[in-house]
Amino acid sequence: MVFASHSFLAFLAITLIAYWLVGRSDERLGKPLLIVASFIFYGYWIPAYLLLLTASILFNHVIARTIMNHPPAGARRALIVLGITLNLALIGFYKYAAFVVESLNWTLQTRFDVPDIVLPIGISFFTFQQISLLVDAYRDRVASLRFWDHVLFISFFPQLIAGPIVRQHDMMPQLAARRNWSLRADYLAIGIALFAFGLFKKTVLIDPVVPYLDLVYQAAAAGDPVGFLDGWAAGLGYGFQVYFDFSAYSDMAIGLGFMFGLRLPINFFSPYKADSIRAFWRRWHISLSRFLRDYLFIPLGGSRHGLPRTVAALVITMALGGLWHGAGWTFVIWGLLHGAYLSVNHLWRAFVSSRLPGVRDSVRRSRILTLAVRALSIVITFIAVSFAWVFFRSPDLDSAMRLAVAMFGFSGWHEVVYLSRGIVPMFPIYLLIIWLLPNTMEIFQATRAALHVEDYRDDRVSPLLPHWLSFNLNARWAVTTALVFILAWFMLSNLSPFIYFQF
Amino acid sequence: MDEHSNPARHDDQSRAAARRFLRVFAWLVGITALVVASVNLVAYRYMLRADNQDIVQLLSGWGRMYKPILYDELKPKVAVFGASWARDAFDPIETSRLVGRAVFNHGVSGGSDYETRRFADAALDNPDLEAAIVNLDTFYRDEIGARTRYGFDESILEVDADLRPNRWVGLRRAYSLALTGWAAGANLNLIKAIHARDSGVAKPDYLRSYEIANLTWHAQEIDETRKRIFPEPGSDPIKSPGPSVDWRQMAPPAELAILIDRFCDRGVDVYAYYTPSHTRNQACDLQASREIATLEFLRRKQASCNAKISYFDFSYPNAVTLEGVLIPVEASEYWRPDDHPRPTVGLLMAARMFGREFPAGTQPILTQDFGADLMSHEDAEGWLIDRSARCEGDWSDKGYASYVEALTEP
Repeated sequence: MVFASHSFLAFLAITLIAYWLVGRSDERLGKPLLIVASFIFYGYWIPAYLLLLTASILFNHVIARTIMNHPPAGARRALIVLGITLNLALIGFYKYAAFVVESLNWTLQTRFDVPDIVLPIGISFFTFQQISLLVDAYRDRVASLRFWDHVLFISFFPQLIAGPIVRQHDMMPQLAARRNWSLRADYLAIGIALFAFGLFKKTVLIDPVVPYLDLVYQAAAAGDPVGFLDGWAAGLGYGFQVYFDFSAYSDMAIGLGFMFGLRLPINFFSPYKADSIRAFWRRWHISLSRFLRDYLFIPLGGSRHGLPRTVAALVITMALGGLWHGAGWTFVIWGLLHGAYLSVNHLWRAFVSSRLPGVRDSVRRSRILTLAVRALSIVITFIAVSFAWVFFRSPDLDSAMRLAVAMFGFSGWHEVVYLSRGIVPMFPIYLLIIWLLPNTMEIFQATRAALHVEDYRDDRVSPLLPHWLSFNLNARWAVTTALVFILAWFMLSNLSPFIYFQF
Repeated sequence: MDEHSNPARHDDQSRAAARRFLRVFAWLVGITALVVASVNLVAYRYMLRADNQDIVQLLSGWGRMYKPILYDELKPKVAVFGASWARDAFDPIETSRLVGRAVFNHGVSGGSDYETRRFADAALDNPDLEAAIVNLDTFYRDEIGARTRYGFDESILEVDADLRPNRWVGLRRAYSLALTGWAAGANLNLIKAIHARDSGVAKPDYLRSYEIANLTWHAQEIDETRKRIFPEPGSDPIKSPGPSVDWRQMAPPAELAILIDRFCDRGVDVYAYYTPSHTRNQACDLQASREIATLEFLRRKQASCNAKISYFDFSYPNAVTLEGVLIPVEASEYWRPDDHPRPTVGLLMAARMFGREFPAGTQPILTQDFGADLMSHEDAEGWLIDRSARCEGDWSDKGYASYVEALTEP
């Protein structure tokens, strides 16, 4: 079920009513009800994959509990290796088997049958959550692990199929401490508002123009000539699409969680306001960035073993991060591009610190220069990220390369007749939103609906948040929320699922 | 307050504020939904009236949602499928009158090959359907187009792409009709158009399909077209831009093949046609590769078809597509400002396809030379090649002089 669909709205309404009714009779019943609802939500797509989800929970629970019982060190190590290996094998089979066989056939000229496997929705997300749980158990960082808490931690429907990737230390304490599982008016009101704003971003702001963007990618995929303007329309356009789509999803997920009184971690914080690629990854898909940092980049050596090792760790981490998004070389190249960007960023910072400290200090002393450098950095970061999106979105390497070449101006001015239609006239509006308006987390800051928002206190670069733009449970915001919801609801068309649902 | 403690303030004041918030929200959403749904559903009943069908079916922009639903209510005997070239050409009321059967215009703005085939899939559920008019231009395109456009919702069609029944269609349709921006937008436009009609406003002023082109605005292009198609005796032929694709080297359009097969299986007659386009916009293909490739494809289909397939080409230099080429025409009889054919052309095409009388006042040259059923023609390939040759001034198949005389009549 896609959040932006009529069927999900009906499911949500029924679940909320059931949760309210159950809470009135026995406030402990809310938790089992959420588990049942989450399994219905997951099984709505392919019921058979409920078995997979259940098996994953059972297996990881047994392994984690055994590790937490402190068996001998060798056994503990064997268990964590077994646990991680089997989780990776699961995701490897379902997500990467076809990719591996295709790559083998291509490189070795073999003719193995490419398996036709339907990817279980959300497998990349819940498998990562399981791995993080096992690693935390191994590191003695899990305070308690009750079975039904584990079930809800993995299956909780707002985050089950497209994140945020919730870590056990974010969710388990909430589940363990919670006694009263009844519906609360304040949680519900704030959750509904967040959900409405997310829905609006998707159905009103971006979905109506996506078909025009698709035309450019279809042209490139068909081998048609694409020009400079087409290439940038494709890069910037998809940058806006994935931005609004994923920020919409993140708002809706956090809002949904909060309706039931559970706080999910912040996942998105105006990434296009980032003034460096490093800052971008602090703000884009935050839960994944944190996972990659803690479970991949740091174990690979992090940034404490000299520059070459740091660069190597960055490139490997980002390449695997790219591969996590999809089984294809376009995703690997997207990850490698970001790895390269991050490496350049590190090298540049090291160069400025060691060779140009005077220049850096004089820039810092001048407010105008600081602002100008920052604005320029934001634009450069945005352009670099937009260029990389072309690889992320393109269906194959050939079309990605065709667009990339066009973006460097090697194939004429423009070719695709639809260029002037649809999405391009929206660019100025999108730029205004992404660069000048406060983000949802800032608007809803006072509600504390998401975890870790405070970590971003110093990252705010929006023009000052006026008081009237700060969400409050008053009549003005109720009217605004209602209007936003009505518009978004009336624009629902069941047309396009969220981009991150396919990962 | 630590990170995992209860997030909102717990005091009674906060809860009271939240309850007020939810009340305002629920009332506003509820009342708006109720009002919008009531207006939309009343308007929908109004939409079903027979005398409103021209406005409803020719209204641009909302067809993807409304037309499948209306079609199932109206259960026509003849349906038109295609993009806006087809939508603008066939006025359902006038065409029904001419053909003598209830006609439904299923054309939509920018309709893609896939969308058109899917609308046809769903239309097969109607046992009354006897014939389908299929605009071939929707399928034979040499440009990249989106598979579907915004507003196309497969879940409101009776069947999925493999003809399996869709679930909850009634519920989804009720929702679409009652609570979508599409319904609200369509109703506003509909009410405006009906009000204009009832106030005595002329058709071209409230129905976009009837809008009238001023062909003198394209004087330079038309002049070039005239020199090419009606060259001065003894002058060298002028080449025109040719087609970019040789259709005979390509596989037939997959969606068209599916559509024809499904109509054939259900015994629905197919009237496939290439829409006329003004000669100043026509690319010359002296080999008529697209038209001949289509002919060969349809002949193969006819061999295993349970119904009759007819095939008409109107897109060649004739009295409709040459309008304004020899004498300036300020108020076009046949063309809209965006170069789509007007419903006047649709009547001529329908008369030819269904063998009916041409509308009163039709130029005699049109009754003699405006399309032909190429499936039953003795020399269909020759007919196509001869007519293609006209676009570079070769009128050997038909008297150059008689055409000049006919087209220069005031």
